[in-house]
Amino acid sequence: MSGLWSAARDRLRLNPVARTAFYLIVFVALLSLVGPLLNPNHFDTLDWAHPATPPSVLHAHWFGTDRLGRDLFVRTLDGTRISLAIGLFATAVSLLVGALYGAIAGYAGGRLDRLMMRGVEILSGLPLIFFVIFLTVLFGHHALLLFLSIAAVGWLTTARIVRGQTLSIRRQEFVEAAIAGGASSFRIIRKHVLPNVIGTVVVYATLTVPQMILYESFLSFLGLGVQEPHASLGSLIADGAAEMEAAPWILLIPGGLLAVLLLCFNLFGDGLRDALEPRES
Amino acid sequence: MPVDSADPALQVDALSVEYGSPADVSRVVRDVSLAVRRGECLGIVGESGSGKSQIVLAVMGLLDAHARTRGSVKFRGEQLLSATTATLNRLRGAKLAMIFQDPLAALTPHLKIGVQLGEILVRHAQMSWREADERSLAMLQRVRIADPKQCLRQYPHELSGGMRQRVMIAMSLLCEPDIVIADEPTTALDVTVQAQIVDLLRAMRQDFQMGLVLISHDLGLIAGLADRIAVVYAGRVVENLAVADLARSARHPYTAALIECAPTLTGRTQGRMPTLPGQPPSPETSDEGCAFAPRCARAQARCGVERPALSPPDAATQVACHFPLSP
Repeated sequence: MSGLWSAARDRLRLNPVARTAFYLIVFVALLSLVGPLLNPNHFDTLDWAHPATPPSVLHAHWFGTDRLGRDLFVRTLDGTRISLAIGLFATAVSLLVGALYGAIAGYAGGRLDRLMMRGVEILSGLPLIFFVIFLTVLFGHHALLLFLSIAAVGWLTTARIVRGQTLSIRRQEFVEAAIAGGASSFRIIRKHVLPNVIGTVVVYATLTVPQMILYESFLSFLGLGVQEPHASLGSLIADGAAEMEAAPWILLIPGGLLAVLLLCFNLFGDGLRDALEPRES
Repeated sequence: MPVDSADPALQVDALSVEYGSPADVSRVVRDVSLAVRRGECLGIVGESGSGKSQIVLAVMGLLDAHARTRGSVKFRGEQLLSATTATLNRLRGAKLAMIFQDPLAALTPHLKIGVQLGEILVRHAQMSWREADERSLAMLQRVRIADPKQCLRQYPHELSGGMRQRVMIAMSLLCEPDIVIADEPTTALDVTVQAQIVDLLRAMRQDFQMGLVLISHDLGLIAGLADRIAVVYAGRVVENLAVADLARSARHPYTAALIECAPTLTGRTQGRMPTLPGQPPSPETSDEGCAFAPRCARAQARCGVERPALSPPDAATQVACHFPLSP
């Protein structure tokens, strides 16, 4: 296992695209943590002297301001942090739930497997928007709700992928040998099956993060996600879209950052897949 | 619990294994009875597809979920065919162990040898990991691994084929089993290593006095290790005989043909190697007549309609043939 990971790391280092993408992600993530502290403005302070000011280094609003005079540098980085947090959290939940669920279904096989996978299909038949609106109506706007509803949808694909992998691993002789050694089903899933699936799951995870960020942005764009005065990349883009003709930077800055972030995650995920499964590259 | 040596530790009675729907049934094991005592070695010989592996998979409870079984498999008096998974898990790996054909496939690739050996001891012998490591180390020494300390820290792919099979053998012996089943233990190894593994198995039999069930299509291997042989053809035992009698007094024409076809390293073969014409019957065929009749030089009209039973009943040496060769 350690051999696999260090070999994968070495291959990843040799891939300039994936490496650059990784450093860019780290840079943006760090900036979203530290950046707002570097600027004197606060994400919800209104600067009535400078409404809708274009970006400039000459005044304190480096990325300009929106219609209400709120600083876009701080708001964009704040929004990035929220978007990243939701993306990572939702991915983590979807991996944990999905991997366990898929491994149990795939390992058990037979009736339990059919039952569990029909459940997944029913859930994936529910439209995400409907689901979120439903939850919002029931419980009101809440950041946690947004996390949960995105995660609730995200784990379905993970479960399918892990189940498929488990099905093929379950046929392997070392699983049979583990059964012949008297190991319990739970131990076999945990020690002999799941670690073999991790490679695929990790790759899938890096490709899930941008998907989750996109989900969140989409919901926020529609006004179902992060609520004012807080911002996420999606709600900033929605604000910007309204002022697109008069003040394009309000749209372009968060939009550009979102595009760069999604591109980097996808490129990094591709690189990781090539590194973990070198035969297919 | 010491087992009375007169009582077989493993007793298989009238075992049948079937697949498929009742309309389109594949009978891969038909009415097989075997018994193995501690300290003795039973060889099961048969060609590919004869059902010899299915017999041991049924014993270990490793059959596919779709398989249907009949008959009885008793291990130290406990019925295994109807046993719960919990009962099976208590016995498997501890008192009833298995050595697989391809050790590279049978060892979990991402776990170190020490973990794979240790988890059996922790599970079955309630040892701490520290104790388990010591016991594993001692066991690796007994199977003559040169640097057992290092081996514990290695992954399966870092070992040679022979070492991997030694690890498998060590793993099967960890809890001092009553019965070890070895399914083609040397097939995946090259010839020089095969001989070492056979020597090791023989030595381990001496040391541990377990009952060994050895499955192979290689008569030479079986002859070198086993005390008794069960010859399996088309899912049935067609002959039971002692190894000492193999060369001189095989009575079933199929056994005789197997011996005929075995290549020898010393004897020179004149011209083409002898082969057995025809194909073994598919598992879908009905039970009418002797399954070997279509390939048998001695077959007569009776062989096509009446299935020969193993006779004489309850004897150590039995043959299922209407016209056996005279010893």
